[in-house]
Amino acid sequence: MIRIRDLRVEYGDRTVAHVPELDLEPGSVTGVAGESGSGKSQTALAVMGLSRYAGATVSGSITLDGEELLGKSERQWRQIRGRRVAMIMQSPRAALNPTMRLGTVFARTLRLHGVPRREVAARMSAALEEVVLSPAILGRYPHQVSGGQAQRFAIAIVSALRAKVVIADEPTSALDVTVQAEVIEVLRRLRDVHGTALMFISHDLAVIGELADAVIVMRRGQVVESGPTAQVLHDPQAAYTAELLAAVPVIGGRRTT
Amino acid sequence: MVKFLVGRLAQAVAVVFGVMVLTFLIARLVPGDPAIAYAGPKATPAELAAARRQFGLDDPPPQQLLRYLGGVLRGDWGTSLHTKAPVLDDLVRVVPTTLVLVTAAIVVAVLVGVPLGIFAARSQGRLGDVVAKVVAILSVSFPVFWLALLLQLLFFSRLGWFPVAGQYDPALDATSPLFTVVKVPLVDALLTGNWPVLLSGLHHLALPVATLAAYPVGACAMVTRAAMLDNLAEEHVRMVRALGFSERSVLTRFALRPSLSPILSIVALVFAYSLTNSFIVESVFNWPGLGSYAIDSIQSLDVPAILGVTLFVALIYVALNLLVDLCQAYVDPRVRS
Repeated sequence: MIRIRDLRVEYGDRTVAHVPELDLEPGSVTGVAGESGSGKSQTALAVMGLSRYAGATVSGSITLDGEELLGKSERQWRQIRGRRVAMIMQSPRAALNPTMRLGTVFARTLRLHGVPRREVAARMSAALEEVVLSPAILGRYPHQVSGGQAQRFAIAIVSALRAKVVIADEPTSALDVTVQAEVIEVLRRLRDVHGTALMFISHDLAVIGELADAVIVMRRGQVVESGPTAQVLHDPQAAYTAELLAAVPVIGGRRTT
Repeated sequence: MVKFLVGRLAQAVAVVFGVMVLTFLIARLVPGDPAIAYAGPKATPAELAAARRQFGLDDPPPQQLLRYLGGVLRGDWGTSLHTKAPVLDDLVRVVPTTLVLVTAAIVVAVLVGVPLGIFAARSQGRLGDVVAKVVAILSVSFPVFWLALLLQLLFFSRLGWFPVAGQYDPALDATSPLFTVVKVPLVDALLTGNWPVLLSGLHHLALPVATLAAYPVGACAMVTRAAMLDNLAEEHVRMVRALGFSERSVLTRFALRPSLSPILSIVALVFAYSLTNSFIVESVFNWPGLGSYAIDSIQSLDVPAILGVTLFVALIYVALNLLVDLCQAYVDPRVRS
């Protein structure tokens, strides 16, 4: 599906992210862990083709079903973004236009990607059902919904677009713990129902442990460790991974993972 | 929404009342005797006393203030000392001309300034942004009287492209006589289908409007640029980019809408600013509007007329702000709640 090889994201001559190798497979979740500034989000922006808006340059190779994405024009990227590779943001309510009803953004997005007008309503309500939201939310403004609702709404958009690759950039960090669990459940269902390849970015190894099949750990732009989740979490090779694990809260002498 | 509206209306009434009291006090404090201004420098003491009695100038100031406030509410804005006509009638006569001028300038400001600001925000830090910023700063920096003379010098004296002053070519009165409807040649020509006068009117409108629009164009451009940059840095913009929307859509359909609140505020502000700037523009370009009337009133110490002009400008200002509040509540749901 997505193959990343020797990806470098640079500002001038400063490398902010270097990923030698990362694959995203259908129906599986790849966790990307690391503290802020480790290059996780820069990697995500590169896969979305959005690095140029942050003023960064990207080199190496990212292929989607064998098709090279780097070097594509903005016009070509617009055929890929949303439709084939979609993204879920960190601050769910800030990710929605404050002056627009949720339904407006949703409908415009579906129309943009060629969903016929008469099918838009049906497609929206089916996607909302998947994330356990009432269709009434379409008439609300972002300041009238909770963070958890806004995040599930974002997942509904991604699901309705039937994107095969979804990048979730710290999708649960702004939410409290019970709401985190809901969102993770919805993401899990997205993967199971649609066979989505999910890249799950988080600084929280406990959350990654719940969802990811494989994980890479990044620090200061470099990948310090990678492998199957169970192996990385229970037998960390890099000292930094052990540090991150030590930061995870422990309940009753046992890690919450 | 009703509560929001009632609150804003109450504020508006308080502001108008405050302006009326202040202008009344200031008019009492300026040196000079309105009775002399009315009766003339050669009036006898008896004539002066009669004038004083006629305008109630001998009464205690609080009583004069109350009488003035009561009169304004009944539609009696006093009698102008220099035109000898009711002030309200004078205003109804001169205001439309000024509104044409100011409205045209604001339309130009929005049509030029807002796109200029969007363009600057889009090319932030690049050459286009620098050029747009320089244009905006220059246009707010030119003093109005100086810009008016500069434009006359360049486009009338040197190039001869535009007429120097007036509202239309008086020679047309012989060939295409104008029927007056609202007493603004441009509007009358439009309403009666008098195309030669309309064209001439637009030709005469160009330089005064360009003068008057300079500051609003720059102000609108700078506010639009800043508001757009704020919104372009927001996560909701990254979100719609990630959903595949074109940069054009991102700018005009998603980033502009939440930027409209500050843009509406600046439009109201520059409208009021242009209303007072029109005083200078009208006298340079010889437009018989509110500005010319105000200057005549000030020079003849015509207190009722000065009060009337001030009150009118304040009313326009308050009405505009009320309108902007309503528009903001419409475009931005966060304002409503």
